[in-house]
Amino acid sequence: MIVECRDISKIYLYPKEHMGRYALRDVTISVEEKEFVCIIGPNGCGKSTLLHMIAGLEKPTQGRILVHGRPLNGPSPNRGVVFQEPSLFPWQSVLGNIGFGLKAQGVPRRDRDKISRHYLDLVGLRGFDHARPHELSGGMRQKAAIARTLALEPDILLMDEPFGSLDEQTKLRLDVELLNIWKEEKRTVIFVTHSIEEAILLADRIVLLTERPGTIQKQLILSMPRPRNLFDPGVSKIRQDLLEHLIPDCPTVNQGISEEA
Amino acid sequence: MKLWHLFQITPQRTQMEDPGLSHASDEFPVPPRKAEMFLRSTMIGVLSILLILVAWHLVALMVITLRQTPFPTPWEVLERFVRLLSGHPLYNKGIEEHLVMSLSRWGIGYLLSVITGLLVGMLLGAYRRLHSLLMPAIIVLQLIPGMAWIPIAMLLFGLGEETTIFIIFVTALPPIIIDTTAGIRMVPKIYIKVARMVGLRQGELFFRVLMPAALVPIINGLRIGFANGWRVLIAAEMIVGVSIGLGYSLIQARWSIDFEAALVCIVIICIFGLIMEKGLFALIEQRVMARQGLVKDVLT
Repeated sequence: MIVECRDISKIYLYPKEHMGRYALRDVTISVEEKEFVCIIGPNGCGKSTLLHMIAGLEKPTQGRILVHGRPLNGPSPNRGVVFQEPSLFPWQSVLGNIGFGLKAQGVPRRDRDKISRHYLDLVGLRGFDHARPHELSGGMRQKAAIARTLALEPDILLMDEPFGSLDEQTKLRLDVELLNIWKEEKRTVIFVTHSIEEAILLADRIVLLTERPGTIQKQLILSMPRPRNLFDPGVSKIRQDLLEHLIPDCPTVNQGISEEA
Repeated sequence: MKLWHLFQITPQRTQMEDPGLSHASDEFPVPPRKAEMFLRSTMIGVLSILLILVAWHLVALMVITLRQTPFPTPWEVLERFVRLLSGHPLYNKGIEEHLVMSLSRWGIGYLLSVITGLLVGMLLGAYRRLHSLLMPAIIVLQLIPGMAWIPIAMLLFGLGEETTIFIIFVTALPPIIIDTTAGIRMVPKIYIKVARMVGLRQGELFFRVLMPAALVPIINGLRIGFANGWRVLIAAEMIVGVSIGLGYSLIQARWSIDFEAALVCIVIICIFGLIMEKGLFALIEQRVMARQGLVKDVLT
């Protein structure tokens, strides 16, 4: 067990309205070594909050998070995060961005550039070393951000809707590329998304959160081999199952899916 | 970022295509237009200076004909300028000695205010409590005109160099602090999260993330601080009782009714200000903004 969340809740306080609100309530999850876990749920269900808490960037209000059996103590390069919003530093080149974390850890220049180039190649951005973030397209920026996080060589990769703002075809293409990278350098991945398709393509296990306050509604283990075909009957069944859980009271969804199945 | 990087000229690229998606046939070469654009902006600059000279000349002619008093024309001032440059002394010193003295006073005062301003600005930007505690004082400081500091400066330092330097320091300081603070506070929180994630230490956070992220507002503060300091330098030299410097020459010229010399001093003050603004601040700002993609070279 590499990550364990025990009964964690997050409460946000709104002092002006004399009110506190649960963003996340009594969530217990454990993640195995090298497992690829997708967390899906509607907007505002606290899935990003959960990820940030595992990263150590936020503290749970109640409950405990253990990593490698030890309680969490702030962020660490061992738990690399790929953020949802554009997060590259505009004043640095792509290579400078990828090597930023390495520099912070005192890796000397030559090794830093070598490692950075390796990950630049891995995400398919060879030749863009000296480009500036603003010169890249949205998809390439996210790839560079992934390379920056991978360059930290973290045990655990935490991805917060990394392709959420991209168009459908770019998103699918990057999902496939991410799987290829993951095959080459197996790591524990916790991947937050609101896309059912994305979760089915990627995950060993899908964790479904309810609407706010987020609680675990269902967990689903996917044992089909990768790469997966979204139009495979088995996959369609899982899709329908997940959709019914996400939108239980929506008749059109149920009908549409059952016809397809 | 290192300073000399700002002066390197690299061709601007527009947004690049993902190598997997590139359509080579959509791209076509465009002839370089850098030289043409440079020429055009230089021409406009020259034109605007000419405009000022023409206006000056007209005012001079009007004063001479209507009020029957002498008023130095641009040409006369230029002649005098050349004569002063070729070694004629002005109030016992060469014109270049006056200039160098003024520059060094300004340089020391401004340097002190830049160092203090950046440090205080970064702290106020990073710590909210400190901000609520000290910012009102800085705002008040900003409202005090430079000349109002003269009595206080004289009480603190007597008459002389320290007094002038102090006045420059204290008038250049507030805009540097205010803009640095504002710049640091506007740094997107995501950059700080990234820094924490990769394990950057607190001290490095200031110099490796907060400062480069806030560079554009910081440059703006430095530039306003420069203008404040330069203006008050001349005024302070006129009053504080030093015996060398552009401000001193200016006030001496006024007492000895040597208006040509006074105008030469004013012209030098303008030229130096223009060099600093166009040759330094505007250039650095442009470079920084282009590197971060905040301005783009566009056709037409």
